[in-house]
Amino acid sequence: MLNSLVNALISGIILAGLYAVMSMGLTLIYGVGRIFNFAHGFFILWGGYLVWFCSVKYEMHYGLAALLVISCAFLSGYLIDRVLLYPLRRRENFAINSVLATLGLAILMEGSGDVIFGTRIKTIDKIVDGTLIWGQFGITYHDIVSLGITIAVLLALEAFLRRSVLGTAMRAISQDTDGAKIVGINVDALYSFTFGLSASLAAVSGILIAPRYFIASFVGWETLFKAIIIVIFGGLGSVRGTFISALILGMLEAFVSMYLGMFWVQPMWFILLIVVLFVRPMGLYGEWA
Amino acid sequence: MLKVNNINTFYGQFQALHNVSFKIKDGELAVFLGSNGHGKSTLLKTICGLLSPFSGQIEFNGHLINKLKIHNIVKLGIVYVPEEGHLFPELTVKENLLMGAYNRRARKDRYRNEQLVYSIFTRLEERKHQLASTLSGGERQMLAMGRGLMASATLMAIDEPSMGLAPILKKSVFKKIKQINDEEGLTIILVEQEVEASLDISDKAFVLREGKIVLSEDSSKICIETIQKHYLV
Repeated sequence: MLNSLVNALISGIILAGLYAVMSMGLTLIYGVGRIFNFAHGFFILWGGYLVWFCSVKYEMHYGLAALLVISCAFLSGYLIDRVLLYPLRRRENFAINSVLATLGLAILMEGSGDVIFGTRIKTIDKIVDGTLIWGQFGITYHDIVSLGITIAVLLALEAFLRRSVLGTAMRAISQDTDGAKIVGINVDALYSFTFGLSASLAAVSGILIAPRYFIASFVGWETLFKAIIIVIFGGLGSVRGTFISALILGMLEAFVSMYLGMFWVQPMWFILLIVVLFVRPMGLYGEWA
Repeated sequence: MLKVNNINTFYGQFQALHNVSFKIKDGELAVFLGSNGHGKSTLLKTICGLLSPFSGQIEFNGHLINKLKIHNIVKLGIVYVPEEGHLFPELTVKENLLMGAYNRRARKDRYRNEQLVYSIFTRLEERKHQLASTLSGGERQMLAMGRGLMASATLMAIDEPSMGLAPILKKSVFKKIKQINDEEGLTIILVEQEVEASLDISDKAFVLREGKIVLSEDSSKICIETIQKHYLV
């Protein structure tokens, strides 16, 4: 009884960390640039694809491959904003156009992933093999490493947003875009930077998640839906809300799959989401836009 | 330092400014008067780069700025203090001020400028760790001007700073503007509705009517009656 409770708690914390990193990019780019990025799930998936490509196909060192993929993700995020979204921002109906553009990008990334990497389901090795067993409790080394990385990434992100000039400028844009322009912030450059940051956060989570499951193109949509539920639950655009919501939903998933079975995880997520949206339509920490 | 030459600005089909031209020298305090909706704010927004003029030139210290983006205009030393404040509500007073020093030239002076702002607006120092959304109307106006001061600019364009303030606060706002002009040597363009108070502190006055400058004169030579005449629609 006790050991299954503790095991559920541990796996809940690990899932929460993964979910937080997974959805943080989505909420960040919405908060700063008011873009709902439907390609976010495929940024996560492509993180997995590319690490598989580098480490399995080309036998590159795992850590090196991860660093390479994360910097590639930043660069492509930056360029995607510059090429795809910057021109749309100069026109009317940006809210709708950006949804169409990112949805198109998602479909493009789904299809091209199949073409480039093949449709076979891929797996990659865990970062570290083995399981730490302590009495009746077990936790894989991979999960320990991934928990450490997610905590470090979230703390670094928090420090960046709170303490650095650039991070404060990102918060400033999300609160008053005209005010940000007036003080001399180059908002277009910062939108692109935020998109790059969002893509690299997606890549980090993709790299950590891929060894736990498998890599296939349909995973992109599933991941996107999970991330959408997490950010809507927490309040779109709120970093703190997303963190809390990832914690709650990660725990919920761990406990539900432990006591009711995997099948009940998604229904429970939706039930909780509906209840929360019924009471607080803007989500836990959301504001009305 | 600022030369505006024949600018025309549109909102869609509607022309808000018609061939506006004027010059402002270093260290001057110029005020633009006129009824609501006659183009005063549009003029400031056009100078500061929030709107771009359809035609005409704006020259600032020898640079043509009418085609520049707003962050580059700020870099050259023009700062805009908007009517609505456009403060960052969920940032603290201090963070709001530091954002005012975002441009590279101002960033190295930010601690000195912060102290300067606190010495002019003492209330802001007491409130520096509070969120901007918790400030009163008067304090917000102080913060908006303080944030403008942080930019190390040489020209400050202030849009209706006395708007919606109690009479006693209005008086203190005008005093602070004069102080910034005198002691810090900033050139100031002020847009106002308070005719008497702004004529008192300014060197030069312009009246805008239907997007045209209908009167430009030294403030000391203008009597209220001439201005009132231009207010009649």
